[in-house]
Amino acid sequence: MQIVLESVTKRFGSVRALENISLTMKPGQIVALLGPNGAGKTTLLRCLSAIMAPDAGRILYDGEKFNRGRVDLRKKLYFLPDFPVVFHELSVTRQLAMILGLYERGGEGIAAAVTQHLAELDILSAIDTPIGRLSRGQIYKTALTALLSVDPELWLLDEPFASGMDPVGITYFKKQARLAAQRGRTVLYSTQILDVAEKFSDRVCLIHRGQLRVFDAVENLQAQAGSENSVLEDIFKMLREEGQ
Amino acid sequence: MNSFRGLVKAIRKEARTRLRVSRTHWKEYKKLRQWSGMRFVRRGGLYALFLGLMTVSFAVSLKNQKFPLILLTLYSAATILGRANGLSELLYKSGDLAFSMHSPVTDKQFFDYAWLHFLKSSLFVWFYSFLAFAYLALAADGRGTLWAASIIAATLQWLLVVSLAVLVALVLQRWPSLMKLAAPLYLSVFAMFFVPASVATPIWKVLQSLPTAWISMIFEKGVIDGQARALSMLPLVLLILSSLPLTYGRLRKTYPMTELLYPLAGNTPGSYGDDEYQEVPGERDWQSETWENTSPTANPRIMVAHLRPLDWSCSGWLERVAARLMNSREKAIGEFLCGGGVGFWSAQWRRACMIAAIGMIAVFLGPWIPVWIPVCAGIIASMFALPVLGGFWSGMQPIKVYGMERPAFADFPLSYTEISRVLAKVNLLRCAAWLPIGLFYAAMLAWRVKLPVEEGIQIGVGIILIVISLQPLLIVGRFSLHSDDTKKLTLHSVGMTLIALCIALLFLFLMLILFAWTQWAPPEGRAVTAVVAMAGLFCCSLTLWFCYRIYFDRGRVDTMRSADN
Repeated sequence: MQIVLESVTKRFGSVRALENISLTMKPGQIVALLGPNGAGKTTLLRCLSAIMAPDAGRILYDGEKFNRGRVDLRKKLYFLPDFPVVFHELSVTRQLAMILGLYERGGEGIAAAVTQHLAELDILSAIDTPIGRLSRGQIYKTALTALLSVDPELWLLDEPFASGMDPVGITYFKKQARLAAQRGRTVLYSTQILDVAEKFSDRVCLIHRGQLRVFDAVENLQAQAGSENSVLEDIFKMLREEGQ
Repeated sequence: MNSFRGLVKAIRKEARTRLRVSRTHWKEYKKLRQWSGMRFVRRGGLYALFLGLMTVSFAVSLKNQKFPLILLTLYSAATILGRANGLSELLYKSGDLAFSMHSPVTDKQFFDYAWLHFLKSSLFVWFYSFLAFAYLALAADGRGTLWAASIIAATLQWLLVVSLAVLVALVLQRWPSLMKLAAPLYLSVFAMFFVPASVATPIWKVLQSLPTAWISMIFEKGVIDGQARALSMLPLVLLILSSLPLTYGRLRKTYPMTELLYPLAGNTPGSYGDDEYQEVPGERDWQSETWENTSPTANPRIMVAHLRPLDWSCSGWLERVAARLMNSREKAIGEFLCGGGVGFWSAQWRRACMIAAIGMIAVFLGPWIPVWIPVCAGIIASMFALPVLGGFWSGMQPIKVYGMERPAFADFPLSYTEISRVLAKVNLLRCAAWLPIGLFYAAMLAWRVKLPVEEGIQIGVGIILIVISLQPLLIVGRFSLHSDDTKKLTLHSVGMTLIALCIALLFLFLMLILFAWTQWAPPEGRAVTAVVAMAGLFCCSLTLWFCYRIYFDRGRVDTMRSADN
């Protein structure tokens, strides 16, 4: 799915959370969304998932204008927030079945796929456990299983590396995201862990005070920097000095 | 925890000095800071103030001195349960407890903090008591000593509520079901606004058995009327007050009664408790499959059984009929909106039938039972059976994260129309299911109050039609409730608000025509007027639903807003 943002702006009162963000994301990429706290990363993810509506500008998915009314387009994306929506009374399988039902995924092989993901994420034994009894990491893994099983064209994840998942879960997520990108899916995730962003992503999208400051391939940034330090660390340092 | 004001001041002073050095930082600070009055508004202070003043003005307009005392008695009784539960929640299940568990704070220190919070939160009782007693003092002659007595009485009333709340908090650990009484008590306070002035005295006589009425009795009869006999209640009051140090000591000494568990398990549109886990209809079938010693990885067939949609046919009759009215997509949405299960509308309908049956017995008992009892039973039964406020939908409940809230459905690809269709189908079905019983009940009531039976049926039909005509409005309300449509000022939001206001005014006007004008209109024109007014109500409601749909679907509103508390 090709994602195009044209002058997307979002304000909260006098605070400009996003200001004239314009970019084009081609399919088959893993993009890290970076920025200091309060930069507008989560707001951008929420705008891309139609939870929030931009005050100005527009979002195009495969050339089609996106808004909340376009359920057909919304079924092609999955937004996994840092605290996913779960019903604590439901068992893990019931929760998964409900989400798969909403995304209308119920064909051949879905059960095997779900089982595989649950097993790889080490939560297979919890299938009949009410979600309220799971730990935060396990709840996140359940929600991640839903995302992996839905296999949307656009993955939107808010801080997946600070979600409480154990190394097994993180490794599996990375592996699946890479495979998804190879299948032409777009993975956009926010993070504050620069090492991960630098090694795991194809591109970096850096927002500072609501403005798009960097949107480039990691290799290009590394080539431009030419220093031994982490290029992203240098950029963050520069941004901070700029604000002082 | 508020006991660090000095430090807060010092930090603010230091930080503001540093912020002033940089123009950018100072500008950003000014953008981000919150108006200090907002804290008061968010804590509900304004609402409480408004409620108090409204109560007094209501009592004054009735010119019946019993009403403030009745309201105070009921409010105090409800507050005892409410505050006891509040204290219990704060001590065992609150976010504050989570905070304290992460901090170097002892259990006793946390208890002291919770106690202070509890005392502060119960102070509205003093305020309302003072309003009630001051009204009586003013109505008597307003002499200075009565004002002083009002302050003392209000303080005693507050202490009485605190004493009893602590007592209840101690008991609440063993009988948590006691809390179920709180909501009816609070509701009865509001119900009093609709009770005719003539029944104030008998109600007050019944309520005098409640301890929360004793100080009011002493004030009314002992202080104002000067009857020494009324002061005989004083030892009883003092006895309750003297229990406070003992109960407080016991509560503090025994805290925590059970091992403290980290209360913030995560993020859910509802709370979870061990005994609240309800089996999903059809789930037993999956669980009955013997699959011990079988690895689900090796046998995806088992997972197929787990992942299949819910079996609506295992549920009550209303759910089964609803399932027939819905296609598979709507069923999936319905399950989500019901929180991953099938609704419990049949159970509510059965409960309503039972209440209506009790009401009918009261109707047949005729003169021995006051007429307001079957009327109240009818209202309560209808509240259960009809989606008066649009019904309860877990999938539309808010999820609060970091001071923001968004409805659960916002994260999933569900459209305004799809959700509305499911809500409308279920709610209309519930209305239809209640229609025959409701009409029969209305006819019986009409017979009881010696009105023509047809008139009773007409009123019943009118009420059910109004509930139906309200459904699109209520659906809009559901979407609007957790969105930011009233929180931001844009051309679209102003336009939508104006449209909503115009439609609401027209709706009220049509209601007025339906209920008032049809009484005065010439008999031959009444039916036509009523039909036109009813059609107008439907049109208004649907127009608003349609306008909001355009507004919502085009993304003019965020399905997210800052949480109020």
